[in-house]
Amino acid sequence: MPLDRRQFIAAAGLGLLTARRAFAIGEDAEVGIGLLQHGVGHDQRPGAVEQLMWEVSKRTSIDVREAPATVSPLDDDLFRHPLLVWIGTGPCEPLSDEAVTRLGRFLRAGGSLFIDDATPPGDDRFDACVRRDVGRLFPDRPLAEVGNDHTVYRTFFLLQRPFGRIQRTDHLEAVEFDDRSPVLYGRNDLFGAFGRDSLGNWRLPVVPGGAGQREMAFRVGINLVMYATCLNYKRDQVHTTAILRRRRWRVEPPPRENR
Amino acid sequence: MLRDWFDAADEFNAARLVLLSSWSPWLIALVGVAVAAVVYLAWHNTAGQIASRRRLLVGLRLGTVGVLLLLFLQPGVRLEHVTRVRNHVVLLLDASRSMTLPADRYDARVDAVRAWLTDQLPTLERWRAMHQVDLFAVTDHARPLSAMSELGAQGDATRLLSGLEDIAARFQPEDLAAVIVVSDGADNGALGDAVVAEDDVPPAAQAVAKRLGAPIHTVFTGPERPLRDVAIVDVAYDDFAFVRNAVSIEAEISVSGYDELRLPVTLRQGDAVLGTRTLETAQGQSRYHFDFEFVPDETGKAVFTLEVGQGPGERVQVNNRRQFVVRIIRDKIRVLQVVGRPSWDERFLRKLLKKNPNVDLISFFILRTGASIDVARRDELSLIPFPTRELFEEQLGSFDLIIFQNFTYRGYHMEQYLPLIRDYVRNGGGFVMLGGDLSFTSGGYAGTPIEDFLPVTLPADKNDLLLTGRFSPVLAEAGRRHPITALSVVPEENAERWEALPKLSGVNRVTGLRAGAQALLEHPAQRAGGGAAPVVAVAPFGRGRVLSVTTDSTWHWDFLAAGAGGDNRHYYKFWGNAIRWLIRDPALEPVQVEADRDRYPLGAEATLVTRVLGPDYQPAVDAPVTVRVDRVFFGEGGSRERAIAFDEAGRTDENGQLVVRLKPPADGAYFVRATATVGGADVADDDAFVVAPDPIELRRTDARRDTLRALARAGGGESLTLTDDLDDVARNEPRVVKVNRRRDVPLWASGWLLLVAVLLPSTEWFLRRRWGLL
Repeated sequence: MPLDRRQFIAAAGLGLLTARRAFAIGEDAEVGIGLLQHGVGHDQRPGAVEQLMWEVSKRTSIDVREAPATVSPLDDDLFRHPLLVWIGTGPCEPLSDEAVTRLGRFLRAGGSLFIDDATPPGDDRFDACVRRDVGRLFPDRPLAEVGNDHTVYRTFFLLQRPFGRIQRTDHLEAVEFDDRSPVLYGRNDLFGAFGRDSLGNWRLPVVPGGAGQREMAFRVGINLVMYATCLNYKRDQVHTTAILRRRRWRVEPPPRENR
Repeated sequence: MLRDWFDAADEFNAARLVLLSSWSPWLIALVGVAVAAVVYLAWHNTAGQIASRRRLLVGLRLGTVGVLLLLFLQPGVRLEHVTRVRNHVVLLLDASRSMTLPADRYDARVDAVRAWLTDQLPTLERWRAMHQVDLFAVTDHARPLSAMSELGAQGDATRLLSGLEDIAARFQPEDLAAVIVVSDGADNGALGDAVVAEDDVPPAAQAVAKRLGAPIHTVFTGPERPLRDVAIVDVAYDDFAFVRNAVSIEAEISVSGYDELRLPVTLRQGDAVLGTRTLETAQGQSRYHFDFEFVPDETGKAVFTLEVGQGPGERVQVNNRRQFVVRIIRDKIRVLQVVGRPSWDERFLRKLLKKNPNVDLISFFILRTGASIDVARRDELSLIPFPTRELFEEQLGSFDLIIFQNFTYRGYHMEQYLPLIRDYVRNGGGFVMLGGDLSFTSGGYAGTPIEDFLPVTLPADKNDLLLTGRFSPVLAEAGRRHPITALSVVPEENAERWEALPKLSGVNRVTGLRAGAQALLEHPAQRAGGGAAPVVAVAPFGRGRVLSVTTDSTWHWDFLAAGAGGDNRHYYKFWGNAIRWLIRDPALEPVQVEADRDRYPLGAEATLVTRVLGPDYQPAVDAPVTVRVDRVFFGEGGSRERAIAFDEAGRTDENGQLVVRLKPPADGAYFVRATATVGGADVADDDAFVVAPDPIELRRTDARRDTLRALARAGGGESLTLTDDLDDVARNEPRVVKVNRRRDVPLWASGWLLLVAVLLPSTEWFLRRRWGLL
């Protein structure tokens, strides 16, 4: 369960007292999120990334950078943020050709992009933008619905479907490339479920509601960060024990006699 | 016979029965039908007569038509004086090594054959009027002998059908009188394999007999009873095996002539015993099967010896042991990647390892620590326990390379495994420690068994363990020529490529290099142990190799390089080089020696090629090299002895190679060591090969009459033994090339025959009237 307001303030206070639990070798070693500056929306979910990464740092072993970096596709620092989040609350202009080239290289070279449709139910204008721009990024690899056996549903928490501030769809969509999903697309306003105000209150209500929904949204967010850093580790790990035991690298003691 | 009767004056040298009439075959056939009809009528119209009368009347009718038929066909004897070309009688004599084994009354079967041939000389001499007698020796093929004295028994195989094929290729069928095979029947070719039952006639034997077109006679040398012998008849192994994979070797041992026997069966690699079994004879059993299994832990060629003890009074010992070479190679590089926390560095290294088709990757990531807040039920998480015991005790030896990536052993009760990891490296394993806040001293490794083999020394204090800030590492002196840091074979280009790479970020503080370690990349500003702080350093440890990278930002060479408009090939090159060096990829060894074959027959020449790379990993020209070859063989009584077989010094050519050729003097295992001086230090490489006669010939020492019987049956000849004479064996007549004169003697032109031709029907007519049949 995500921490309630009292727990949150207590934990934050404790965090201040104990400072960071680990010290990375500089900021480049920390896992952070870059907010993609494209269209409207990157600044519409204040505190959401910080809250998500705070949860990540408390629940997992990942050393995080809580504050997001806002980057455009043409920024020099784009490649310092292998995990990008593109939040959209409305329509946007098409990416420039140069931006398509750079963002395409980013994604093919190993970067990840999570697209969060934060528009109200019934508003498909951002969705149209996404399909247009992703279509240009991967002309031969369309967005496709992912099954609930996708690794993103089991990188840390075991999940069956995506959650968010709203429940518009029961699936994620993805572009598959190089045995991974460099683009994941959800339409449930995931980051809308994360933000708190300065007093520790949730900025936006979850719909249809309930603490369980927000907690599940956090689990989706944490799994996303895990997926960006570990890729298909969990998928392979299922077979690890079998692989280890399959390898015949030792010999059982021979029988005393062999006739 | 015919000549004796009809050629009293001995004017002719050939006689045969002929028909002197010139009737067409159709007419003869028609007359034959008419004769049958007449006889049938006689049988039919005497149906009411008593049996004796009936037989008499039909017999008279038969006699009448028979005489008429003779008059119609006009048979005669044709006497001719002809000129013939002598055809060939081929004596195919087994000259394989099994003929050195004892026969019934001789120490060697080949001696028994020589004595028998001496006895047969009068017969062969008599044959010379009609036949030319040719001697051939057969082993795996037939070769002509100019004299009986040339017959030996050194052949490494007995392939009688191959020998007969050679005879068929050499002679036309009309030029062959007969083929006489003299052998112990211990065929190890197609014939021996095909004959499993006493009445077998293998199709392959029939085919070759048909091609020959002459009878095949066989002469069995014996002995009829099997020798007392214990023999390794077969060893099943693969020429290649994979390191750290169980290898199976199966042996088939035959025992003959012993009732009760108990002997050890031993498999050795070099001098080390890999396994021992006990052979204990059982009633009615002659074949015994043994399995050996072991795990090679080093790549390269390995010489194995399989040996079974010697039975009491055993005459043949050479088949009690078998030496062979197995090339131990790597199937996949087995990598264990243990990660203390997910990070970008881990993410890109994992991608690299997963993309390498030669890597079999086992990853374990610590996704949650004891400090993590637990807000979910266990069944809601995909976490599994960290299997420390399985990884670092049970399966440790199965890995070629272990990577500790920003991982601390603390908190997982791993202290007891750290000495095991040190032993693993000392015994040949590869190890990498990558930097981060959980590595080196920050990971608590100072003063542990891990520090013993790390290339860098660790600070004992806890101050400023992590040094932040971006930097471009500098190629150290050793890094300019080390294969790990060789992004290009051209030194200047290599330096340029390193300078062009994206900056790294942050390092773990170390205090210097361990003795014997080399820094390949250094920090441009940080100091350690009186020199630049090593960022990438390597060191050998025992038979293993270790790499330390004190930063967790090499992923910049992948992703940031791509972002800067380049690509990640240098990142892949660096790590590819590192993995190959860590697992001792032979291609990166400065000295490599290799024999052109793993096994040579006796008397063959071996070629040894030594390749030397200089400190810059380029072919070293005119480098001094010594090549020494030791022979390990079995002395009297089966003791293992070692002697220098070859020792030569030379210099490499313009390709950095030294080629030497030698003729191994005798059988045995040969161990090659080439030594060269590279960068001021002597570096050596080893290889091995085996020299042995083809073991197939003496796998079985028992003589086999069944194979020779089958061959004689296929060839329409006789199956004889050394107690038989050749006098009466069937032979094809020589071919006639000219008829000088001819005379036909008619057999039908006789007054007696005419009289019989009148008397027989008259008598029949008389009897028929008397018995009321007319």
